[in-house]
Amino acid sequence: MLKLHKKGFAITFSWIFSLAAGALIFLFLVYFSFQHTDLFGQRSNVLIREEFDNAFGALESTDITTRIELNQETTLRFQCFERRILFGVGKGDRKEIPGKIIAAPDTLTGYNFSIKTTKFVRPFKIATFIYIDSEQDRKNELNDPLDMAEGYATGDSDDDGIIDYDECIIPLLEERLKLVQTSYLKKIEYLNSQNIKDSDGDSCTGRYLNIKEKIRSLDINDVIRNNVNIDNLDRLNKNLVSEGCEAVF
Amino acid sequence: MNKNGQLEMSITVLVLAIFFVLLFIGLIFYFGFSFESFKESEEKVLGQRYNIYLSHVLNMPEFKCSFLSVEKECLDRSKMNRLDNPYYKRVFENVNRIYVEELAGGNEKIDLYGNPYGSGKIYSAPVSIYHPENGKYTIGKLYVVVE
Repeated sequence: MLKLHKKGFAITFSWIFSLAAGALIFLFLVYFSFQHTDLFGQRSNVLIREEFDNAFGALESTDITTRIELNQETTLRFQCFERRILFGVGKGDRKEIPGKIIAAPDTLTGYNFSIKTTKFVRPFKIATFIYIDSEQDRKNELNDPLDMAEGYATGDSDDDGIIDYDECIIPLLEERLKLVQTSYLKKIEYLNSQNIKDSDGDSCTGRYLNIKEKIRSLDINDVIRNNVNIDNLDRLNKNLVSEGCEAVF
Repeated sequence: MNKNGQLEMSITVLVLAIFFVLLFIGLIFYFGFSFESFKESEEKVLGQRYNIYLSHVLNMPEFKCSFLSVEKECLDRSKMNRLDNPYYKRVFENVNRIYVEELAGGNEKIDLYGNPYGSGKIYSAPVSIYHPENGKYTIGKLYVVVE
């Protein structure tokens, strides 16, 4: 019959207790390190997203091509959702980048990213297009901003998630057109209120009313097709200057 | 269990308790520093963003001067109207107020966005203001007031 010695039992209990406590501490530290890595991963994703967001804002003023270098492999994700372009880094949350029309494939992975900005002028500046490419996944670039955007949107990707040309880029462009249109219509009101005269001393008001109607009737189809209405508007504006009136745009 | 065993158990529990107390103090300090570092990063990113708002306003076709479709580095006085479309709320999410102060004449303040009495941290940049009615330029200052 096995006889347990009291002293032997105490030693065994200490061992079991130490092992259990050690295992608990070990599990806690493992859990903590996983949480910590995840937290810092999320933090760097948010920081990278904010840095890109700031870069988009800073670069939209000029036509420029630049490069963003990251010291880690990063995945950028773009999505067209309810007529908004959402942008996220890695598995982090996607967030809208308002005021910017971004043309990019739905997913871009790499260390270095090139950013190109192009002003969209028809016949006045409506928006700035921002194109993003990974240096490992470069696309062919065209000269026309809309062609480039369309090229990206209909590129070699699956159906979900891509920045859709018709669902996102065109509605955003239409939204911008309306806002810029309003701004020019108000400018014409201001010019008319100042009773501006041409080089012969005649009032420019009638000419401003003419161009006002053309601006008011401009729609997204004119802008996309770059049709005769755009040319007419451009010509009317040039005529204003040649006749000595202040240009509208 | 004899007295010796009870004493050993108490010591082990005490050691564990002290270990956990020290661990938690360490964690509190660690998270404190991490939180500070997070706040610094946030402030840095937000600072950059608010400065970019200035350049964004200066480059918006809604305000920027242009001549025959070519943009010029100034704000057009005739286009300086209040932005009240909900679109701008999305663009200037944390901005309380955007205004331009003309530094010539009557130091006129032209509100472009937000609450005219909005207060907060101020970011500013000098601007050139074009007056199309007489073709003259004046100096002004663009202000972005953030939360």
